[in-house]
Amino acid sequence: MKNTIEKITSIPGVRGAAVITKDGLLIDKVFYDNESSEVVGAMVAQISREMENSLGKATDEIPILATIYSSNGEIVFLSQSDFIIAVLCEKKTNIGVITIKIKDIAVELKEQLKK
Amino acid sequence: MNSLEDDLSNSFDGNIGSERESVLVFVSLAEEFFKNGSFEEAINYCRMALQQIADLKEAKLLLYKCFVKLGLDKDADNMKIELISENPDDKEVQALFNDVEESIDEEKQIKNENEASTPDIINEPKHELVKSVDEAEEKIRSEDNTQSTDISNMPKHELVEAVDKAEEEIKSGTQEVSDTGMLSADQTENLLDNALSEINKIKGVLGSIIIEESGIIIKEKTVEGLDAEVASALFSTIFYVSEDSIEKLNLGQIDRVFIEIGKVRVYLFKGNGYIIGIFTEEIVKIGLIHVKAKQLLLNIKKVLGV
Repeated sequence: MKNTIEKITSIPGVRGAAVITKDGLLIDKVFYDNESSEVVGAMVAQISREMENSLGKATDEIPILATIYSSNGEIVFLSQSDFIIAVLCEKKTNIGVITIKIKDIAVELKEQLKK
Repeated sequence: MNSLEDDLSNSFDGNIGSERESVLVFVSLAEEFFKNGSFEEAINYCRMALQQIADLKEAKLLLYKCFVKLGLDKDADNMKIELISENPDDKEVQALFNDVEESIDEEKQIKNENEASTPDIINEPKHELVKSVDEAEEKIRSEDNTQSTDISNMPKHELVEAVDKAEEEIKSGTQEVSDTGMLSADQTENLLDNALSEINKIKGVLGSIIIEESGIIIKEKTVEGLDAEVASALFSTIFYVSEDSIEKLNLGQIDRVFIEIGKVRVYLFKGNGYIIGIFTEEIVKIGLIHVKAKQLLLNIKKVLGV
């Protein structure tokens, strides 16, 4: 699973990526500091829950992808039916590449979690 | 691979017509302020329009009228020269100058007549005012006017009090005039309605909503079937939850949020204590949406009069 996550963290500007349950529990992560992963995980799980309550449940076919742009960085996350992938990036990171990669690794992770 | 924003910015650059339309919204706002007597606000909006399109005739014409109204003759002259040099054969420009010059002459004439008939009691020192009242009394007595009894029977200290009161009333009256420079509720609603309509006109936009950061809906023009209350609560929560975590991560301030659910996209922008949510289809000119939303957020406080 770590190898799969590293496909994203190898992109320049990415500070870390994590796979978490819908409840916010960490499944696996590649982060440069522990604190960030916990904060990102908790935040992403809460926002994802609120979105699903309002907009409908995220499924593998129709996941929820969100990007939070701030003045010093960006957080991208993809919420599927069983897990959420969250990526913390620096400001100038190519979000287009992250968006494509995050969808790719979601498919891979789904297969891995089935095994 | 270019980033998504670069691609979209490029597509925005290619759409000059849409850009002009979006900038004309500022001129419309400026006209509303102008009609309302808020010339400085109108100037701000014209300048914003000119920042986007430097030679926008409509904005310059309005700017000229504002300068004239404010008595900024030098600025008005400069603008006139600029307009004539840019539009030498434009009849609209010429007609405007003629109209403005005629109205200036009329205003001057009315002002002169008023000055001749009405003394400037606000600026006149009190002792001179009393003196002039004495003179008026004398004149009335000498003319044996029946109306003179009211003033002539009044003791001088009461007369001074009456003058004080009149001065206060005039001053408060002046204040009321400047307060009316604020937009009425209907005007505010129209402006917000127009702003959201402009955003909704962008190809691919399904609806838009303006909410206060606590989640209260200010104005919405969303798609049928979408519960605006639920959406506004969600948008407010997203920013509320994110801001706390973003602060802990030292990421600065949240600029915007993008959400993709199936074929629907939601763009959220926050600024000045308000959130704008824009619902779109898959393919949309994000550059244009970004510009419009930012412009609206920049001016929303002025429009709402807070």
